[in-house]
Amino acid sequence: MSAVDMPDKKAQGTKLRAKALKVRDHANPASAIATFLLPALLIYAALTALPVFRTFYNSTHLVVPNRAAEWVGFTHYIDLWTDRIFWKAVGNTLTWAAAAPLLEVSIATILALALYAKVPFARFLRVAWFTPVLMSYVVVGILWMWIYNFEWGALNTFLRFVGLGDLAQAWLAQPDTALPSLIAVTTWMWTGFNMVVILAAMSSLPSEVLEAAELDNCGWFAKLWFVILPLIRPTLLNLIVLSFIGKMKIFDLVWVTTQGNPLWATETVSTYVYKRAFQWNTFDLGYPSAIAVIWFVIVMIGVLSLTFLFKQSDKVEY
Amino acid sequence: MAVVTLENICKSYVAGEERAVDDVSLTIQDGEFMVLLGPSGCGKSTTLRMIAGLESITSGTLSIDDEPMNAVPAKNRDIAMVFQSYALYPHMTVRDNLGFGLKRRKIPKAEVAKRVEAVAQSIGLSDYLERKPHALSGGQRQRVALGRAIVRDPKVFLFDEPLSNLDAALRVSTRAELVRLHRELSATMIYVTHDQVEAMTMGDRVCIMSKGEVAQVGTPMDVYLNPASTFVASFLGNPPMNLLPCVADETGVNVAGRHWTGNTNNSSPGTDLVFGIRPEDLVHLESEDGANISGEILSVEPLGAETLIYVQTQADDQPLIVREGRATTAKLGQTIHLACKPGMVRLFDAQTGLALTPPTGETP
Amino acid sequence: MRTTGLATPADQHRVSSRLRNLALIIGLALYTMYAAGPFAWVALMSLRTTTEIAADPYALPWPMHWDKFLSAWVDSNYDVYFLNSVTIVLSAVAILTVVGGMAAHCFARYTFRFKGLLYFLIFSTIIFPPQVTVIGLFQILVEYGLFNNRLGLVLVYVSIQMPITIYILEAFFARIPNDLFDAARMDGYSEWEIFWKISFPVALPAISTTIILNTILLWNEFLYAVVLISDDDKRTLPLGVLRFMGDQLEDVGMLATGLMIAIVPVVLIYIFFSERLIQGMTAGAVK
Repeated sequence: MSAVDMPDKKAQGTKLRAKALKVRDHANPASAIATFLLPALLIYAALTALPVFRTFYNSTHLVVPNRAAEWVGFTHYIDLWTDRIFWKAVGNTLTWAAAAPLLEVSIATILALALYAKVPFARFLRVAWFTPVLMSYVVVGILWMWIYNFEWGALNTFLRFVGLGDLAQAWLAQPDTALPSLIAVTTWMWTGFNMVVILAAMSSLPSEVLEAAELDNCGWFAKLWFVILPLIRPTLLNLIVLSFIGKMKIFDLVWVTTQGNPLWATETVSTYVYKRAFQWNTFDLGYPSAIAVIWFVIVMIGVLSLTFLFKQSDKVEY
Repeated sequence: MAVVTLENICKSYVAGEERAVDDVSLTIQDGEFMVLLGPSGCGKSTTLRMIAGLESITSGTLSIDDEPMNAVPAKNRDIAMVFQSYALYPHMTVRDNLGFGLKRRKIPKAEVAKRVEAVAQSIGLSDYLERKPHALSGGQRQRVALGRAIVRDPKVFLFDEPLSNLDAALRVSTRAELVRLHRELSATMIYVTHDQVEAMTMGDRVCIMSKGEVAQVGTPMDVYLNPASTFVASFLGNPPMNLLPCVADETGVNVAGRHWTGNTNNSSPGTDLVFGIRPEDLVHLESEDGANISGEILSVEPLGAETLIYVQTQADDQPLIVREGRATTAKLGQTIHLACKPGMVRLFDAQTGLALTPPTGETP
Repeated sequence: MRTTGLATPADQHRVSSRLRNLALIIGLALYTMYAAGPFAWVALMSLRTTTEIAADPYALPWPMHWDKFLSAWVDSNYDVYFLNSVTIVLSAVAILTVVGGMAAHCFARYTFRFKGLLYFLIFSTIIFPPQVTVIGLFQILVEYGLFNNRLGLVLVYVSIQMPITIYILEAFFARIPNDLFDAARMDGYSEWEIFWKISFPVALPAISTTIILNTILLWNEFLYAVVLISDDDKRTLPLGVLRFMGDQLEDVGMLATGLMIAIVPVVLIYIFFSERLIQGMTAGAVK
C-alpha cells in the first residue's frame, strides 16, 4: 500500500482552477471586520482623535472667532510659564490628585476589612457607603455647600453640638479650608466605591491561604499585613491610579461649589481651561488649548510614572 | 452523499512561517468513516476546520464531489460538524438548537418541526426539547450536538474529538452509538481524535498525521500491523511497538547481540536499521535455543488479563516490553529469552524512519 | 479560688477585645453618618418647605409636602430638563450598546492587521483628561452645526463612553467559546446574524451591565453638557439643577426637591440592578 493517496491526472486540472480563485480568509472575513469596526472607528476619529489634534493645533495658534487661526509659535507656552494662576491651579490639582487617592484607598481598605470580618448589618452598610458615588457632582456640590454653610450647615451644627463651636467657620469661603473641604467631598463620594472593589478582591482570595496563615499562628494584624494586603496589592494600586486620573480631571464639583474661589484656592486646571476658553472674554481658544496640551503631557507622565513606580510585573489596568 | 478530496492542502497562519498543515492529500470515499488520528498539534483539527470552511486553505485544493470548495464559505458547503465542546447555543432550548440550522435554510416550519421531533426521538431526547443546555447532563448535551448535525442531513459529517469531554463509561457507549449511526445513515464522516482506541474501533480507514503531514493512511488493522514509519509504529498500540537499533548482514540483522534471520529488502550488510516487534509478538522461551533477544527482567506488571514484562537488552537503554498472559513465570532479575513470532518483525530505515518495503517478512 | 477584677490574662483579653469592638462600632457608625447622612438630610428637606427648614433644618418632615415635587416639575421647567436627559441618555446608550458591541465583538472574535494598535488607541483615551478634547470638540461641533444641539451631545456621549464599553464587552465576548461561532457558521448564518443571534443574546449579562453603567454616568455628566449646550430648553438635568440653584439660591426647600428628582432615577436603578451596576463600575479596577 502507498502511504499517501496520490492525486491523479484529473485532480491536476482542478488544482489549476483553484489557483485562479481568490484566497479568502474564512475565519476572518475582511468585509465583516470592516462592518463591525467602522461605526466605532468613525465616532472615534471624528469625536476623539480629531478634537485632540485640533487642540494640539490650536495651542500654537491664536484662535479667535470669525478669523483664520494665526500661527504664533510657542508664545502660548511661554506665556504659560509666567501665568501664576495656572501654576496655582496645577498645584491645587496635584495636591488633590495626591491626597485623595491615599485617603480614599486607605479608608476604603479599613471599611472593607470591617465588612470582610462580617460586622452586623454588612449589607445595609455596603449600600449606605456606596450610594454617594451614584450622584452627579452637581447634586453633590449643592448638597455639600449646604453642609459647609456657616450658619445652618450640618458640619458647623455638629461642631457646635459637641462643644467645638469655636472651630465652626465658613469652610468654602476661606482660602486655607476651601481645598481640604472639597477633597473631603470627593473622599466622601469615592471611598464607598473603592471599598466595594477592595471587598470583592478580598472575597476572591483563596481561603486556603488565610487558613494556612491561621495555622502559622498569625494574629489578625499579621494576617492583614503579611497576607491580605500583599495579595490584593494589584487591586489597591489600580484603584490609586484610577483615583489619580479622576482627580486630575476634576471640574464639575469645583464649578458647582466655588468656581475656583476664594483667591484661586480651589482653582483646578480643568476649571481654568474652561474659564479661559468659554468664560473670560479673551476670545482665544489657543491659550487654553496650550494649557490642555501641557496638562495632557503631565497626566501621561503621572500615569506612566505611577505605573513604573509600582513596577508590577502584572500590568495596571484603568 | 459525497466524496471529499484533499489535494496538496497546506495551511500556514502567518505567510512564510512554519506550516500547520503541510501538503496533505487524501480522498475520503462516499459513505466512508475516516478517522484523522495524531498527537496534539499534528494538524488534524486544522485539516478538519479547512474541510469545514472555518479556516481558509493556504494552498492546494479541497473538493467535494469533484467541485472545488476553497472559496465556498462554510454555510454553503452542506457540511455539519460536532464540536469537542458541543457548542450548543446556551440561550436556546434543545428544540431551537436542533432547528437553528434548518430555519436558516428556508425550510418550511412544519417540516423543521417534523425533522426535529424525529431526530429528538432517535437520540432519545424527546422529553428534553424545552430544556436549555445548562439543564442537561454531559451525555445529553453530546447527543444534542450530534442531533443538531443529523437533523441537517448534510453531505458530510465532521467530528472534532466529540467524545473527549465524556466520562469513560459514556465514551464507550457513545462510540458504539456513533458506529450504529454511521451504518444507518451511510454518510461520509470525518472524525478527528487523538485516542487510538476510537480510531481502531470506529474507522473504516485511519489517517495518521504527524507535524502537519500525513504519516500513513489505511484500515485500522493495516496501519497497526504494517506501520509505514517508526512514528506510526510508536504512536499506535499501548504499549507501542518495540523499536531496537540493529545492523543488517547477509541473512538478516544483528540485534541486541543476537541474530534474526529474515528478509532485509536487500539492504547492504552493515546498514543501520531499526528492528520493530509488537509486545504481543514476542514469545517467552524456556531456554536460549532459538532466542532472537535476551535480557534481564527489570519489572513485571500484572494487569489482570495480561502481564507486561520490561526487559533490559544490550541494544538500547529503553527497556523492551513483552506482553504475556496472566500465568507468566517471569520473575524480577531473571534472564529472559525471547523469540519473535514468524512474520511479525518490521524493519525500518534508521535514517528516514520509513518502513522497508515491501513489508518485511521472514524467509520461510 | 476565684479572684475579682481583671486578674487572669483571659479576662484581660476579653475586656480589651470588647473595647476594641466598641471603638470599631463607633468608628463605623460615624463613617456611616458621614456617608449616608447627607443623602438622608436632602431627602428629608425635599419634603419640607423653605420656611420650615429655616425654622429648624434638622426636623422631621411633618406634614410631608409631596406637592413640592409637582410644583418643581411644572413651575421650574424640570419636565423639559428631565425629558431632555432621558432622550439624550437613552439615545446615547442605545447607540453605544450597538456600536460598542459591534466593535467589541470584532476585537474579541477576529484577528486582523493593526488590531493591537487600534485597541490601544481606543483604550488609551480612557486616561485622556477631557480638557484635551473639549476645546477641539467645541470647535468641530460649531463648524458642523451640532453645537447647542441634542444630537451633537448624544454623539459626544457615545464617544466618551465608548472605550469603557468596548473594554467591558470585549472581555466578556472573548470568554464565549469560539466553537459556538463556528457552529453558527456551519449552520448557515452570516457574520452579521451571528453577532445578533449569538454574541448579543449570550452576552446579555455584560450588555446589561454596560447599559446600566452608561446610563448612570451619562445621567450625571456635566462638563460636556455645560460646554456644548446653551439653550435653556435643551438643557439636561444636571444643567437644569444648576440653573435652578442660580435662580432660587435662597429657596433651599425647593432646591432639595429638585435634587431629589435628579437622584431618584439613579437610586431606582441602583435598587433594582445593584449587582450589575457594581460589576460595571468595578470592571476596570479589579484584576
